[in-house]
Amino acid sequence: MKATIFIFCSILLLTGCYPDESLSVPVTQTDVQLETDLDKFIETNFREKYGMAIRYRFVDRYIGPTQRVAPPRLEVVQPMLDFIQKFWVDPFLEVQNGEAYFRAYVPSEVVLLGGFIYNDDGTVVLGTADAGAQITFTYVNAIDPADKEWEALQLQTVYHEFAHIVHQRNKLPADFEKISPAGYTSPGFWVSLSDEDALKRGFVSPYGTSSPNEDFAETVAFFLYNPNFESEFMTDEPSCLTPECEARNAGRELVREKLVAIREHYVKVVGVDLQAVRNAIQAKLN
Amino acid sequence: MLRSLIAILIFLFITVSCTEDNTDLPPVEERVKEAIDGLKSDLTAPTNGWRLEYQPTEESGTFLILMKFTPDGNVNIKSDVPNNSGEFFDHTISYRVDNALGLELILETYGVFHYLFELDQATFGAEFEFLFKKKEGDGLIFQSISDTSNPTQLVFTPAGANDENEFAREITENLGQFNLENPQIFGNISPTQQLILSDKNISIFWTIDLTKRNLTAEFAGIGTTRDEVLANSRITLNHFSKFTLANGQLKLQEPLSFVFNGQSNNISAITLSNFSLTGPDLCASGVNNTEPLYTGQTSGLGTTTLVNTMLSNRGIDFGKTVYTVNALFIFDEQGNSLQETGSIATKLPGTSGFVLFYGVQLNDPTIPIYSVGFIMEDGEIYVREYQPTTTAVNLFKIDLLDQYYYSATPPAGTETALKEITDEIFAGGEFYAFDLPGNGVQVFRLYNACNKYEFFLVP
Repeated sequence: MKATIFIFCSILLLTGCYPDESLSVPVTQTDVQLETDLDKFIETNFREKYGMAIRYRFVDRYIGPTQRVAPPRLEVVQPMLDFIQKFWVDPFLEVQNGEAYFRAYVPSEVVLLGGFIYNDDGTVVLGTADAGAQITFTYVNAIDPADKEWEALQLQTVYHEFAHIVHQRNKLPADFEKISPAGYTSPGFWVSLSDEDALKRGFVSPYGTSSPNEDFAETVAFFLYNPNFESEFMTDEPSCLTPECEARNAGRELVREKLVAIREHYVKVVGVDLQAVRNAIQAKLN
Repeated sequence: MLRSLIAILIFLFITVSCTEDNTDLPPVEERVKEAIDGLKSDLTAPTNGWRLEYQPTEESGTFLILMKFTPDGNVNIKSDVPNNSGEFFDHTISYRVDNALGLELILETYGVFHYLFELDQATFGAEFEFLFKKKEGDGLIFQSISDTSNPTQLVFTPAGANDENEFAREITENLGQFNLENPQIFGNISPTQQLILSDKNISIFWTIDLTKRNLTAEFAGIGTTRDEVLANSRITLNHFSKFTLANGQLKLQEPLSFVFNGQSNNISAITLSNFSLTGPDLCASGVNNTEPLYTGQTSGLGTTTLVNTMLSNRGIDFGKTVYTVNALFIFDEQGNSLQETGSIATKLPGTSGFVLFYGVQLNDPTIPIYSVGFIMEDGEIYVREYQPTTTAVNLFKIDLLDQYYYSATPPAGTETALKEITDEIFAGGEFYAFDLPGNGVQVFRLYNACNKYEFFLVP
């Protein structure tokens, strides 16, 4: 009987008051207020055109609960949009099948953050992509397209994250992870590798050794952005006389194999020739 | 029977108590909107906007900030934070009143709050997301959302028409010139200022953090110049205080009081009036005298002069022992390593380490106990003898002697190279030691104010 009374009272307490207490209101009001010219520009040129919402007003869901970051300055948003248009959107629009690919794969949300994202453990996040739904640009407040380091940070990040969406939706190229299986590293070990160590293992960067997915994304990003990709990663050093040189050339052979697999994969699943995209990007960078 | 009666009474109580509420209470969406609109209305109401005396952390001083919210989602913010070329003196950013943990005020785009938030890789403790707590009189009380413990309380009070006159923008800009560009490797150090009380012939040395607005008075000494202070008695103060800059004054939140040389001294505020770049050179033998200099008055203590100095207790533990470091860690005034691109690379190739023997007897009695030089890649040691002349606080003055020691016969030209390199590093004959805060390993940063060279030593 006691239990019956308790349950009865509990039900009354839980259901008796506030009959319309549904949680239909978004927890966070993030609707863009189309009050400024900037917001209207974003609506017309990014959301309506590509289904891509540009978020520059800070909302804490853009980062993890233990992360810290500042939002962008208002003045840098328009220049950053121009930068994104020129070096990310336009190169894909200019190549065959590129527009269809871009529209189909572009994340629904692009977040601009003013500084780097700081983690509790002192590490820094340079950029993120969230399961194909969101790409985040960091360090936007330091915008300076003439600064090659800043440019490399932004473009390598976005090409890398955009490449992730391709394998997230279509898997990796067949047997991609079997090209350099011994080169992958255990978690966190990649930070101890030098660029040369990575190349000898058949990777374009130390971070690429952390997993086949990162290897795929890093190879795409380096291929698209690095103007010296051919000489650094594709062309063997002639007249090799040392074991180190031979190891680097062996690594280049693996990189070449990966790039062939990646390019074929892109043609097969999205109909785009990455070489044409690289050419378009390099023409704008030079 | 009794249990049934209790159940019926509880049932009646709950049913009756809920009836009226159900009829009057609007849906949650309406209540949220009403609350957001209400706070927006409050924020935009005051004619002159809001005044905030903002103290981001318990260790920081107070920043006067004025804010004028407008219904279009923008807020004009005024402050006296001089960084980024005065960007934060007067700027407009967007804000949002939101509902998540409760009613929230979010400053959505970058401004002075975000600048403070980002200090020290965003660990300083400032904030730009605030939780609305309550109204109190004419004021609004907010609380930091991003503080994980002991959240900052922010009290918005209606601003007066003339509150902007309280800003000490000229002072904050002038004080900014006390910030040091050198030493520069592993980050700049906070400047130490010598506060000269001319009428009392006393100098106070404090290390000041102009960004966080706090200072630590380290010691006081008799005299108005560095050398006078070094020649006379000194007293340790070790007094920490936050400070505020307003109405032409630097105000200590914890006044500095001490008795020295038979005189009582109390400093709670300094009125800063005349600024110039005519302060004494940080190098004793320097003749430029283009360092910052502020003059003013301290109540009860008379004329006050504020200049930069390198004398600081921050390197006072630099004692007699053997110090070594990788030769890479010797840098010129541009921050270039002498081993990579400077005189060590060109004049003494094959150098591995840098060694300073400071006053200790070694196993090899032929090595001078005061000598400085290099450890070579083959393990040989080449050093030059010196004579220490002054060691006080963190200042070390030495005379380099033309006496050399080699653990093995060196290649031709080594002595000339050793002489030229050590003459270059120790030009002016004095350097200052500072602790390099780190992860448990004691490292000293040595700085030569005469040529702006710096190097690191590990005991």
